[in-house]
Amino acid sequence: MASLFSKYEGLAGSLGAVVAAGGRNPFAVVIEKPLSSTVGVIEGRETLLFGTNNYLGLSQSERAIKAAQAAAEVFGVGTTGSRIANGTQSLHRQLERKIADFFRRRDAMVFSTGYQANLGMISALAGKDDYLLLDADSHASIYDGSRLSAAQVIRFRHNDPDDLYKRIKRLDAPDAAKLVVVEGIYSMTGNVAPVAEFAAVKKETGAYLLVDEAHSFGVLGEHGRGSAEADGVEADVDFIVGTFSKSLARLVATVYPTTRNWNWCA
Amino acid sequence: MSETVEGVSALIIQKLLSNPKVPRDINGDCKIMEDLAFDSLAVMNFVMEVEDSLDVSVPLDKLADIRTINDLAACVVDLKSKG
Repeated sequence: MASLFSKYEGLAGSLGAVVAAGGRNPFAVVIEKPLSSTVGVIEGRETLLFGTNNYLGLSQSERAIKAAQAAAEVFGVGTTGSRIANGTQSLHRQLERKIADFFRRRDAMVFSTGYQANLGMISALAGKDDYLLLDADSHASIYDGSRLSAAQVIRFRHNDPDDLYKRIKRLDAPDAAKLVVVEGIYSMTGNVAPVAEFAAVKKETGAYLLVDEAHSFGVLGEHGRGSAEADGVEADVDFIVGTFSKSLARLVATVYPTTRNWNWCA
Repeated sequence: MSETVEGVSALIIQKLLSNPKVPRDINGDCKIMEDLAFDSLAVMNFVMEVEDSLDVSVPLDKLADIRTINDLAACVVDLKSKG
């Protein structure tokens, strides 16, 4: 009888080697409690936190903490239903309106995590007869969203608009709807996407462009609207996906204190 | 450039052998992940090189069915014939 777990034996061996070499499992680090946005207690010691995405240092914002407490007093700790069923409350719509206004868009939609925002957006936007073109270094949420989608998925070389153009020109059905997905800043490398050049390809080929500004929102652009603002091409970006889990560090009051992240698309 | 499975398979093997970490005794029946120790990312990156060499795009969903070098070659030949 085949085992469900045998496929992980290689990974288990690799992890064991890493732990043996360093004396610690790097994936099992626990921050016992944060002391500030940059210092936490790990293994009983005050430790500098260089691995967070706390770009604006807002995770310990007193204003946000008080707002969350006040919201919980009014709304409780859960809506007990999905948004489409019975789970939309006034704070959802207020938040979505604020996001839409900030990005100067018609509307915005909030998901529970940035991961889910990409799963939902990408799988819903790109269907059976469409093409999805992903940067090779895309986040796992973008790849997983593409798997949920029924579209044909083509990868292009990282941060290479010329390669994107070449692959679009190579498509069997050039008139099919095409969605190009890039990230403003790539989390593992810190590479910034040449969004203006991708926008140029999108306009020339008639594709749609989605920019995941998870790591660039609050970081790039004069007003912090991300890489599209920094490159002056916001009008050419059809969809923005972002997250509150990095720069905003959950600044907004939430009715879900147990939810880790709020994320949005506009 | 040959568009037979044998020809494309030979080209793929030639590309693989340029990587010194790849075993020297590979053939078309070798499994790309198990025998060549490629993880899923390495497979996708290698397929991208094959795409550029043969001017073809391999949709990601087709990778799920590809296990061996011959599988990849057959997929490429099929895509080229439809293009």
